[in-house]
Amino acid sequence: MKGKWPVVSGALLVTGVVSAFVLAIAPAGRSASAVSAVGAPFALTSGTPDIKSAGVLAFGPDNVLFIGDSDAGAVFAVQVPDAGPAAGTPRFRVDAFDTKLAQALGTTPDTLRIRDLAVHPRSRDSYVTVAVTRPSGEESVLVKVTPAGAVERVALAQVPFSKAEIANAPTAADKDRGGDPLRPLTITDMSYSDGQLFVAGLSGEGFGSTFRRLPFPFASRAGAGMTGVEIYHTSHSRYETQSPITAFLPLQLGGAPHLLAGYTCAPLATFPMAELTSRPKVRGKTIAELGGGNRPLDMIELTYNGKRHVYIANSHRTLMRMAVDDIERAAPMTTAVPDAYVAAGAPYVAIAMVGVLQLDKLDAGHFVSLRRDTASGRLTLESHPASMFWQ
Amino acid sequence: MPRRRPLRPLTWAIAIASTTAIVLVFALRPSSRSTAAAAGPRPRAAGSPSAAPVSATAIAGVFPSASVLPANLLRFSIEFSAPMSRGRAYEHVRLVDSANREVDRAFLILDEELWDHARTRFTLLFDPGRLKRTLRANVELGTPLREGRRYRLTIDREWPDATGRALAGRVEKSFSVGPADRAKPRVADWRVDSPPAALSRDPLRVSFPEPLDRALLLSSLTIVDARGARIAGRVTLGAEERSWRLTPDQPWSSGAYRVRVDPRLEDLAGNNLTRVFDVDRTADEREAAPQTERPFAIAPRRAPATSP
Repeated sequence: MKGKWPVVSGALLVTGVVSAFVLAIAPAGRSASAVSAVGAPFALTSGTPDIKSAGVLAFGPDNVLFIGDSDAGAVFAVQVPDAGPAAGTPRFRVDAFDTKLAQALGTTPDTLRIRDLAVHPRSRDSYVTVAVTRPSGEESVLVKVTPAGAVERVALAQVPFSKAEIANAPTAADKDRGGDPLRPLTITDMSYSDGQLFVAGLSGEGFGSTFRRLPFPFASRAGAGMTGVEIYHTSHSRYETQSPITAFLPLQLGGAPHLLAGYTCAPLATFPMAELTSRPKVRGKTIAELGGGNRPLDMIELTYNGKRHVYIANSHRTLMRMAVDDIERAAPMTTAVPDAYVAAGAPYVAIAMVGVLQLDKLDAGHFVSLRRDTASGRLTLESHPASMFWQ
Repeated sequence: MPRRRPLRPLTWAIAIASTTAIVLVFALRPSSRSTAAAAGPRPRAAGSPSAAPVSATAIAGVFPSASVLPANLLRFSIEFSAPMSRGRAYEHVRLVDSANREVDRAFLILDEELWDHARTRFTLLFDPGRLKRTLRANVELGTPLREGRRYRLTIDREWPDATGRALAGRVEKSFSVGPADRAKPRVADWRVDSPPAALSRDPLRVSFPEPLDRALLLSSLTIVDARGARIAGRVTLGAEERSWRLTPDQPWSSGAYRVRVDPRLEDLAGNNLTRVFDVDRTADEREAAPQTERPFAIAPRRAPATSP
């Protein structure tokens, strides 16, 4: 197959691809280890969260860090200590991050798999989830990296936390299935906005692409408030595909909250948030094809000179910048791109930065990247001003 | 990205010669039975010091177990005897055709790999864009599997388990490809084989005309009595995942029962009871709800025959 178009391209198909999502208000469970009420505004309790495998991360309000745990089929909200506002410039650079991380964990870089990164908006500390393979078994670790490059483990014992169970597929059939093993659920991305945590996921068994909204503070009554919603992904194709969302971003478009969702291979689609709550079926709008053979890894929004832009990190493309104006203006894509790897729809600028594995917003004008250098193969953790891409 | 590594001629010769579905290069015993309680091999806890295995982690099974698979097969699942590492799966699985060429971009690569909670079962999805007709990838590349040809799924010994150690051996699953399956499984086509006798603990067996997805099958069927109460017991699957057996914890009572099916149960091509995976959505939506129950009865035990 060499020389031919390598991947899917769904994009193209974008044209009409239908994606089944389930939108649900998830129930929440409390850990038995919770002992006392603290963190009052968010109904957090002090205890030790029973995290099996810390994966996807997102920061919420007031030092609350959401930790996705695919193994446990749950999201944990953990309040991390407030390190206070960072002083000085938001620019920092941590070279040889892989070596520093391995040293802090008493191992070597080849035993590490970095799973996600989120930046604390006030302290500018980067929180990173890492899977460590040790002779005693795999260990799941949360670490904090200061702008000065100090790496330390974050203790997750006796911390204020709450937990939302999300593994159960929210359909009526589940009521008959008490006691059955939970289906594996993989959390592919999370984002917090205005009292809600958005969670995209994929079940390996039913091949269900799922999207959930969890009100935060998490509801305390287990099993309450589940609503099933199916979302159509783009308009005209006759055939369904249940492609998973690999990265998404809550985004204001035309003055209304929307979801910008990136799919593997590599369409971008928008969904009005209002429709994700109230209608049984919502038709998404495909606004761009980023080029086949690729999948978006992370998306953030930054403003520079009064203009809003979305930055997209990719598995098989450079870092991209797309103007929100262009996303708002984009006509729905209804035809396939003419050839392999061709991009179409809302235009993007290919920024001269490759190997970006993780991306998160630091403040209105800065973001943080975890990048693999093409010459040395080393990992660099670094903050960048949006302005550097305009000069 | 999958690595391209030529297989040794000897290995290849063994694979060609083999008529069985799985070539076990190392002496591994394939698991043919499973239970709902321990859906697959019994996992060891990851992370605890006591978890250090005495023997190397082995591949306990590769599913579907049938040796003929549909051209639009949706997924493989690979079961292990102990928890595995995370983030290394796609380096260690390859689909190879009969000319020993790797089938490029056959699988959907996800940053977050699809593992079960115990991390002893890995789900490997084919790229759905290549399975669905008219999608760009399907038109340009075709389906990864072509009807009438033979393939091997190869799994490296170097795939590290959760302790970083290599597997007990490399495993290949050799199979041939039949026609694409674009029909929903129909409960009406199933057979409830000779219901067990009242007061016995004999298993009840339900057979299907086609193999069904193993993981979903283990959790999708229940037996309920006339009052809707669920019959507890041990579930096992038959050869090629073409049958399901429940051995009840308590002896059967006579009376009416139903096999109840979760409509999300899928066949090997991802077709479930309510929709075909590769579906014309607009046409499909008008179809009636599927049959999800199958009644059967257990007759009262007859008194021993007595002469008049």
